[in-house]
This record gives sequence, C-alpha cells and structure tokens, in this order.
Amino acid sequence: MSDLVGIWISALLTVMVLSYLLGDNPLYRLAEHLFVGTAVGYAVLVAYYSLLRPRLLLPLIQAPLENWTLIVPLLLAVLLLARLNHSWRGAGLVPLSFLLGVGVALAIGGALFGSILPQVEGTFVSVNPADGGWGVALSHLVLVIGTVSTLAYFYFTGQGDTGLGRVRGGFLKAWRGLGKWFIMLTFGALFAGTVMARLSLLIGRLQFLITEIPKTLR
Amino acid sequence: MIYCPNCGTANRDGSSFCNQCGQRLGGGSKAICPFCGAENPIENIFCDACGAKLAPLVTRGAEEKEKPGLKGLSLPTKPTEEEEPAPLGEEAGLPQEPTGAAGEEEEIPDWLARLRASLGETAEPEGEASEEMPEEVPDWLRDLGAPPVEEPEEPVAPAPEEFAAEAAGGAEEMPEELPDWLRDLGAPPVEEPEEPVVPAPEEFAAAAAGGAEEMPEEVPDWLRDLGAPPVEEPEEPVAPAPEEAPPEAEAEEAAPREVPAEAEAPATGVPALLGGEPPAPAEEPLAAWLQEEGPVILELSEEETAEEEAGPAPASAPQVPAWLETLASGAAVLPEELGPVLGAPGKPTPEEVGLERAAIPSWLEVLRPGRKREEGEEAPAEEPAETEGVLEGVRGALRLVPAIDPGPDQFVRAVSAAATVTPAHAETLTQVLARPTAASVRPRAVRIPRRERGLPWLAFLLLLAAVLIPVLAPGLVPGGGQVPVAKPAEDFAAQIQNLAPGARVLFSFDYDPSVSTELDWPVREVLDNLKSRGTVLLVMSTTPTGPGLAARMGLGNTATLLGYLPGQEMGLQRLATSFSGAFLVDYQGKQVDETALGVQSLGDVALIITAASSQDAVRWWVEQVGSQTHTPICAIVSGAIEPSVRPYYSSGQLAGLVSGWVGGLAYRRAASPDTPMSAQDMAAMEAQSLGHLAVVVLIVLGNLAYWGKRLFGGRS
Repeated sequence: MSDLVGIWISALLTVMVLSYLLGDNPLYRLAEHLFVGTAVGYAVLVAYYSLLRPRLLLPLIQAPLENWTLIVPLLLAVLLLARLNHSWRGAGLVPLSFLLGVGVALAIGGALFGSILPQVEGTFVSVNPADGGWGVALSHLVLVIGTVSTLAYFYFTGQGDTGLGRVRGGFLKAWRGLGKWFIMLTFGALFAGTVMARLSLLIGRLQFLITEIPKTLR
Repeated sequence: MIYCPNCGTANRDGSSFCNQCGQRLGGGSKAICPFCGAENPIENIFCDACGAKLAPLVTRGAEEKEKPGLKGLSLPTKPTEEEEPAPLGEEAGLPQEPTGAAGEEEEIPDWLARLRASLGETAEPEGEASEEMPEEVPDWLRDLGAPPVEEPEEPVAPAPEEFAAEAAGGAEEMPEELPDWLRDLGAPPVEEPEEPVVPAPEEFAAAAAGGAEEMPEEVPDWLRDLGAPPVEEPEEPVAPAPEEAPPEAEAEEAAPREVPAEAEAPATGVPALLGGEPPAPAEEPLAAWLQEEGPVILELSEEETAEEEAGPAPASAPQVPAWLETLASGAAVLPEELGPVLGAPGKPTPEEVGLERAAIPSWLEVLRPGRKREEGEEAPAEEPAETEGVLEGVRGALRLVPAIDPGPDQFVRAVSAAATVTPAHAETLTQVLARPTAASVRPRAVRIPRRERGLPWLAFLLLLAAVLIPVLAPGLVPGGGQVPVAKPAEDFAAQIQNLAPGARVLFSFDYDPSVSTELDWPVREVLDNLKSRGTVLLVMSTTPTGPGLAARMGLGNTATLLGYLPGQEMGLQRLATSFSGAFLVDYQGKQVDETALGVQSLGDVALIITAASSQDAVRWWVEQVGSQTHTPICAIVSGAIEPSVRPYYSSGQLAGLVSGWVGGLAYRRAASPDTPMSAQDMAAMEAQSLGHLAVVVLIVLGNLAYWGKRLFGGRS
C-alpha cells in the first residue's frame, strides 16, 4: 500500500513539475517547494543523527569533563548563528574565518598536488606513432596542442613594441585563436553532456509514468 | 620707420628695400605676432590684436631668426679686408692710433665687434687707458669708453678751423628736438670740460662747420645715426681748442642742431665721409654703442606715447638687454666716469635719463600667478545663482571655468571666463534631467511574432515524440539499441573483476535525488556486480541525502551503510588521514566497529567508487584521497559533468569512469557480455538516441532559419 501511495505521489509530483512547460504555475511552485523542503528537512535530520548527536551532544552530556574541548566547536557553532542577528553579525565572522581558512588551505594543497601537477604531467605524452599507433599519436598531439593553446588564450600580457615583442605577440595571437576554438569545443561538449543528462531524466520519468502507473491499476 | 622683416633693421619710412639685407619692404609682407599669431602690417610695431611688440621681428618664413635683437638701427657690417675703408686717420692725415689687442677682440660680442670694426677709424690708444680703469669694469668696457674719456694723457689733435665756428655756439645750446637721454648724455662734457682736446686741423673744421647742416646725400642712415652720440655724450671735458679750431666736442655738439626731429641722422659720426675724421670723436666710443640702443628707445617712446597712455602696452624697454638694465639700475659697480651715462648709484635714475621700465601687457598679465590674498582683503564674490532651467536657484552648479588655472583657493583668481563648453554641458544636463525616470519606463516584453509563436511548441512536440515513441514501442528505431563501446567503462569493469572475494570496497553516494533517475541505473548495475563478486561494501556519502538514496538500493547483508561524512573536502581529508573515528555510528544509529569491518585506514580498502552528480565531489576524492593513498578510484557520474571529469581518467587519477545511461550500458556490456539487454533498457537507449537526433535537427533548423533571415532580410 505504501508503495502504491508513493508511486502515485511521485507520478503526481512529476506531472506537476512537467507543467512548467505551460509556464510558471502554482502546481510547479508547490512541487518545487515540497522538493526543497523535504530535502532540507531530511538533511537536518541526517546532520543531527550523524553528526550533532553522536559527536557533540552525547559526549558533552555523558562525559563533559573528558570532552570539554568540544565546547570550542560548540561555541563556534553558536557564534555562527550570530550571523542571523544584525547586531551580533560581527561575531559570526570568527567561525566563518576558521572555516574559510581551513577550507582554502586544503583546497590549495589539494589542487596543487591533486589536479595541477598530475594534469601537467598528463600532458607529457608521446606523439610518436611507434609507441601506440597513429591514432594514439594523433590523440596525444591534439591533447598537447589543445592544452597549450587554451593556456595561451588566457595569456593577457600585451605584446611589446620591439621587433621581438611583435613576433611574440603574433605567435601568441595565433595560439590564442586556436585555443579559443578548443574552448568552444569544450563548451559544446559540456552542453551536449547536459542535454544527454536531461534527456535521460526525461526518459526516466516518462518510463516511470508509462510503466509504473499501469502496474498500480492492475 | 619700417623694420625689415628679414633682419629687423629699421629703415626709413618709404623705403622699398632694406638698406641692410636688401629685403623688399612693405607690400605683401606680414608680421606675425609671436604671441597671438595675428598678422599685422609690416609697418606695425605693436600687434593690432594683443598689443605685443612686433619689431624687430621676422615674418613667416624668415630663416634668420637669430638676427640681432638689439639691432634697432641700420648698422654697417664688418667689411672685408678689400672693402675695409682706410682709417679715418689716414684719410685725415692724422697719425694712426694703435687699436686693441687681438685677445681683447675675442671677449667682445659679435655685434659689438662689428660695431667696433665700423668705428675702427675712431679707435683710441687703449693700452694706456685700460691701466687706469677700475677692475670692476669688464674688458670690453675698458675698450669702449674709458680711455679717451677719463684721462687722455696725450692731448687730442686740435680741431681744424672749419669746426670752430659751429662748435663755438653749439656747445651751450642743446637742440630742443633731442630727447632727454641724449641731453643727459651730452650734458656733462659741456658743463665740465677738464681736459683739453687737441685742436682739429683746419680742414676738419671747415668740414664740420658745413657738414652738420649740409649732409651729403650719399651718407647712409646708419652713419647719420652714428653721428649723434659722440656729439651729445662727451663725458669728459674736452681740451680747449685753438682759436681757429674749437674743441672737437663742441664742434660735434653743434651737429644735432641741424639734426631733424627724428634724431636719426646726426652727422658727426661720419667724419670720414665728410672729408676727414676729427680725432675728438674717438674719445667717446661708449656713446657709439649706446646710440645703437638710444635712438630706438627714443623713437619707440615717441611713437607709442598715445598707446601707452591708453593701455599697458609694452614699452621699448624690452629691447634693452639685461646687462644694460643691470648697469642702468646701478646694481653693478661702475666707474665714476660711466655713472652719468648708465645711471649708477647717486646718479640719475633710468627714468631720469629717459629709460622706461618694461610694462607687462594685459595678455601677459593673465599669465601672472595669482597673488596671495592679503589680510582684510575681501574674498571674491560668490558665483551667481542660476536663474532658469532645472538648476534655477542653485549657486555654483555651473562654475565658471578659469581660462588660466589660478592655483590654490587661497590665491585670488586672476582671470576667469566661462568656457565655451559650459553651455553645452548645461544643455546636456538639462536634457538628462528632463528624461522620464526609470520607474516611469517599463520595459516592454519581447513580443514574438504571431507566425513564430508556435515554434517553441513545435520543438517541444518534436522532442517529446522522439522520446516517447521509443518508450511506447521499443525496437522501432533501427540500430537505436546498440550500446557503444567505452574504454572508461571497460576499465571500470576490469577493476571490479580484479577484486578478490571479501575485498573491501568503499562506495560513496555523492549525488542528490535530482539526478537519481540518471545515476540509479548505472549505480545499481555496479552494486549488483560487486555483490556478485562477494566483496564487502562500505557505503557512505558526502551529502546528507546520499545515505537515503543508498538505503533504497537493496545493499544486502554484506554491506554497511556508514552514513553521512560531514565536512565535504575536509571530511575526505580526515578520512584519508585516519579511517578510525571518521564514522561513530552508521546510518541505523549503531556504533561502527572498524575492527569488525576490517578497515583501519583507506589502505585496507581495495577500491573506492564515487557516484557523483557534481564535478566538485569527484575532484575532492581525487585531490584529497587519491593523492594520499594508492587505492584506485572509480567514478559514476552524470553525463552533464563527464567532460569535466574525463581529464582525471585520462591522467590515470581515475581508474574507471561510467557516465550516465550510456556508460551504464557500456559497463554492463563489459562486465556481463552474455547478459541480454532488457526491453526497458533497449527502449531507453532508443529514446536517448532519437532524442539526441531531434536536438541536432532542431539546432540545424534553427541556425538555418537564423541565417536565412539575416541573408534575405526577413523575407522568411
């Protein structure tokens, strides 16, 4: 029975969301608000039962002397709530600064050793057909050219007036033009991936409506 | 007086050609004012437009702009050796006097050298005189005037008898036409004759007597000009002449009486042409160079009298060089004998001798820096308020723009004038203020033409048909159910196939319910494969909604749903550092026993799989976990982020990659090649293929319509 109700509610909400094809309407708004509210409520419960209760409240209640250091994160959390009050707004900067500082530090370190250096190393590929055939060599060549030209597109330093500066400017201009095309191809690929993903969602919902609803009617 | 536009020489009125350089005078020549650029008749001395002094100036196109600025009168150039006339003494039959040394010539300016050369016939013995000059006097001054004036040791030759008659009465009666400065210069020698002058020979006296009155016509102007000073400026007393020949100074002073009012043609300076040079004029070479300046000053002051009274036009004083002004002001130490001439302290001031201070014309006064406001002085009046327009009653809104920046506010503004652009600015401001406000202008909605209103619906229907038809009737699209081969999916499957039974696999649900329709299917495929391999699943999530999505997947008894790991990137960093303590309780609220799970760190995990709907989730895993552990990481992602995540696979940071439905089917084909594709999966793939085709068609048609509209001007 619960599955039956759940299927019908799902089907009803799906139709309400698809009603946006006719324009913004209360049905779509209702479905949207239900989705957001349910997601937030669920997230709060998960955060409470997965984080606050086992890691903060229970230790402080059961053994406060042993876990007195937990007062620091509790205090920071309370200060974070001060952001809601305009008069106490400045106090909320302390936990925010802590969070941002740690987050940025981790992001920089992770980006350097997890993305930048490995990605640069990934462009050190062989373009020799003897290593993997002509197809691999051509793929590697496109990879190298695309990487260099895309980086050149974001090289904004002006060219000099000297002869060497003009040569360098012309060289960079050619690479920038090539990099622009690679960037456009990348955006096109992203758009195509998004279209494919959204089509999958549409197909999935249509399959749900076409296959699951008739099952409940039998 | 006409100034030559080429060399600046003053010529007689009515002259057609310059007597100095031969330049044609008058006619089409125009004098260009150097300050305002206005063209003036060549005869003008002051600019008609701004009052700036024009003479001596050169006209447009003149090449020799460095012609002597001091040259107000026609002066002779230095003759060549062939042309050099014989010394006056020779012509007069007098004994020759030694001239200055060559070394002294070098210290004399060119123009003075030329002057001296022209007056070389009047040179005096200088060696003796220079010894008696004060040290403060420069050498050139020693050469010029001091010796004969001060203490001529030897008596000058007596003037000839012919000069005596004129000189007798001429000494006392100064001509009224002479200017003051000439009177001043000429007075002392007359009043205080101390030194006797050698009487001139008789033949000189005769010439001098008639020469002043009857100037030969061949005498050029410059010689006439040169004649005056020696007569008028005998600074030192002249020795009494013999009866038949009066002192030469007196004889020369007689000449100005016949000089016309312009005082331009005195005759005593041209004794050579008068038949002989009396030796007396050589006593006053200083007057010879002063006369070059003197007549100009005199003449200009006479011509500009009316103009100077009307306004502060520049006087002739600017033609006086700085060194001469210094001398005239008494700043320099002068010998006593030069004092009466140059206005030394205790002597007549420049004004008294006829010199005038330079007056600053009005146009130059504008450029004068503002003066500091003195105490008690009233501040400048405020600017008047606007009387009309939107700024009516506002004071100082449109400030007068000063033509010249007067400097800081504490300085009184010299001149201010309304800029010509100010009215234009005011007009523009008025128009801007008169425009309706933004609130009164409502943006019009873009109205789609009637014939184009159905196009969006046509696109919707086309896409819906492309998706719905394969779902309702699978198998209608030929080749639509083919599953492409994807190497990332094959690598993903290979990683799972390499897992030993009982291996720990950490599976993270990092997507939200909005993309569950897309990702649930490939995730379920992978989970089924893992369960079939007998692995131990540790399920977690970096998003709060992830555990709920995992819970409905039917994980089975071998799986442990650890739940939500807070902190996102920081939580993964902590997980990579120490697995112990990362999860206290599982999704069911039970205590997590890492020992029972057999995992103390991520090193104990054989494979990490993340199912993500955002690029950040994959990046967090790669950056924070993959860089610290050697555990392979595979990803199941939405097709929307596949291009962003693929570089991690290409670089080897991801061991396998499955994206969307297509990736899930490719994974199934690689993991279970013998498993046939279900009808529902076939329909989904056909709908996916046909939907993509519909999108491509719509894009092509839309572009064709757009370009057709542009090319044919909307006839479509």
